[in-house]
Amino acid sequence: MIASFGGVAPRRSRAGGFVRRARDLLLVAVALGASLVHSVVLGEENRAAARLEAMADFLARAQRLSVTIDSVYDIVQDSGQKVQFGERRMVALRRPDHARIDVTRRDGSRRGVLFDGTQLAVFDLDEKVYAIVSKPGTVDAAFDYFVTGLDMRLPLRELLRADLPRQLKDVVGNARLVAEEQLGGVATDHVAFRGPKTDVQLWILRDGDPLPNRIVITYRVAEGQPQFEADLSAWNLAPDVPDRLFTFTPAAGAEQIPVLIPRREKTP
Amino acid sequence: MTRAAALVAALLLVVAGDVLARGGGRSGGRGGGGFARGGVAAAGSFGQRAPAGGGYTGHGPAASGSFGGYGAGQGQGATRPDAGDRGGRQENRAQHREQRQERRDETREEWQNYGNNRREDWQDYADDHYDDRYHGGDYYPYGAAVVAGAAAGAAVATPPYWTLDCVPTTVVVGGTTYYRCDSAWYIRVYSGGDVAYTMANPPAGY
Repeated sequence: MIASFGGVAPRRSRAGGFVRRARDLLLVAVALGASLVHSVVLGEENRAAARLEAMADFLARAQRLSVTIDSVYDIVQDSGQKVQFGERRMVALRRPDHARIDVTRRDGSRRGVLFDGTQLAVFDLDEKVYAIVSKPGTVDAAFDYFVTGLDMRLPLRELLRADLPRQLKDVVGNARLVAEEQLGGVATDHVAFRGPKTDVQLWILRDGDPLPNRIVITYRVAEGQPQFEADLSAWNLAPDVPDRLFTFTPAAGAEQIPVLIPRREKTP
Repeated sequence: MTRAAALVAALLLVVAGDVLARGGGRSGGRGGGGFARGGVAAAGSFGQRAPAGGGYTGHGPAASGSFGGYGAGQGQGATRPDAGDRGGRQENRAQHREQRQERRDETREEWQNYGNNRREDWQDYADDHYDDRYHGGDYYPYGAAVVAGAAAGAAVATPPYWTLDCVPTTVVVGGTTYYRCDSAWYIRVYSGGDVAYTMANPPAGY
């Protein structure tokens, strides 16, 4: 706005107009630059979310699969000392109602769980015991019961669920791409996200099927912030999984034992 | 003109900083992605000498390997009610240890006092409790427990013991191995994914 006193408006100089035009051009350039950079940001965020969703969709759609999971996890002792344990899990899944997991711990002990659509069978070859609990239905329902009902361990069971995309729905929005990284010579996208109580990192294969190659979970609200780390290998999306693979036969001399379950309080 | 150029540079710096802070950078190199790579664990140093002693527990939240805390089917580790309350958790642990010892002592006393009279139908007990709607509960519930699966009738609703504090004598009755420490009897059970011991009614004939 140009103020006028005495009825005579000042004339614009040619030099002043050039400065103003240059300033306008610069402002436009800044706006465009900021927009471009912001697009890159959003693109990276979308890419992290897209990679996570692609992985979840792919795993959820697989009708059968097998994978080897080598994992380690921290246990914070009463003294506060952190001690690491580890195990290898061989997973075979045939949706919707067959699954088998064979576990070999670092100490050499072997155990596992089978589900044949009607019952869960848990066995420990070294203790020479097993337990059988009836649970007709899907693998998802049986494994939920296995963990929350029977108080058993089943690491990374979320990855095996048919509703994995729904499981991750709430966290996809905060997923970020840390970097493109080589993991054992394999190109991966390193994606990180935060849950209410955990920090989760996944390394998802960049080439071929969007499968997780490595997962690290930090229990950040737990004492000592212990971590669970897993390397996933030998993925097979067309494994040979006949019925007999999921049929439980107790080892010779094995004893059937019950499962002790924490008694929780009744809802008032 | 100079002022405008400075303004442009400042704005670009701010936006670029925003990119890095949000972890969207594609540097892919050292220190990129907006995530700090330094920290205590990054040192990889042993730090101090570890104290001697064994008997390490293998149970804790990270053992669950659960993503934890969101969506349906939450994992056990991340939903532990005392997680995050360090003081409370220590207190709970101490309390649990006391309860466990008290429970063990009480149970022994009951056995000594009443012998075989204290038989109960534990399968009914289990069924009654298992049909309940659950809420809350401790991850290490050193109180009563319930039992599922076969051979449940022998078990008593006591907490799991990972080891027995004696060298037990064993008796096999009806396909179940009983472990006897003085007047207390135990059987093996699954608890928390591992094989443990729990109090049991004496086997028939004992």
